[in-house]
Amino acid sequence: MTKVSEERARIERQMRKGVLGVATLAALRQSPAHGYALAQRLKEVLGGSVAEGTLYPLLASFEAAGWVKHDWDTNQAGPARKVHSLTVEGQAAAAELLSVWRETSARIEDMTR
Amino acid sequence: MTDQPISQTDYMFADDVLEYLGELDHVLKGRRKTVREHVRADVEAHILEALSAKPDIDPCSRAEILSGLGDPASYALAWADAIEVANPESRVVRLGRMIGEGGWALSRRILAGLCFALGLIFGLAIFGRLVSPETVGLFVLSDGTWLVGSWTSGSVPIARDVLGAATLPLCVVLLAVFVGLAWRIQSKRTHR
Repeated sequence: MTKVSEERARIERQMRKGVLGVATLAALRQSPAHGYALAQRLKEVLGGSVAEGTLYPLLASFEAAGWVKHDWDTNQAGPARKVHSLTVEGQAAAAELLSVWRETSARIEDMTR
Repeated sequence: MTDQPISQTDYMFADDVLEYLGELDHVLKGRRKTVREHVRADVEAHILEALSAKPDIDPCSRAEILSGLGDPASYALAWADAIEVANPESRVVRLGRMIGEGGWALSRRILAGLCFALGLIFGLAIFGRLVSPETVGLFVLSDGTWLVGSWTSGSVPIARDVLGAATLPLCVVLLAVFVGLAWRIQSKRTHR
């Protein structure tokens, strides 16, 4: 790998990690999900560069902030599954952060014109 | 051999999964039991979900799932921190836990030291027995009293060497046992 492509890969990795929080809130805004399904959804959007393990600390910190809550799904076979969903505060935070994301993205887009 | 299909739960006991979970426990050592259980339960649930999504479960797919989660050292502490923030411990409970953990660590240290000291005593006994077989051992003296250890000339004469030729091998065995115990206690304390 050349230095230029290494640098490109590093910035891309940082970018994807940086948007993990907003992407998680956006995914939960669409629908509640259990950890693994959420990880798969985020993998589709952000690619494989974000380790699934990093999602769980994020969910726990969102819970600590009161943005995310979890319920236990006992309908499926096997052990009970934790289903994560946004609280009212989480919905508001997601809306605000997504608006920041859109603004920033639009401004960057403007610079490239 | 059985033709019964193996369930996803059985795969939780595969060596690589157990090794991964062991690594997770090691990273979380020292954290509250409830926090450790919380993280472990979520990781287990994730692995089970991932396994149930795979059409074929083989060592490769297990390795893929575990590498997808990432190295426990890279995420488990941040996770535990976030859970602790979400579920703060009262000061009294925290103090009690710290005292309990400190007391346990101290008693292990003392026990390891004690075992090592006993090993050292038997090591010295071996040396003494090799240098002067008639002065170190378990003796009955001529006045009927018992003596364990070193006999010095000038005291009551020895009537009988109770263990005789068995003294040296017994000391070697006891040396190995106590040093082994000390090492085991010490290494558990360091690595777990």
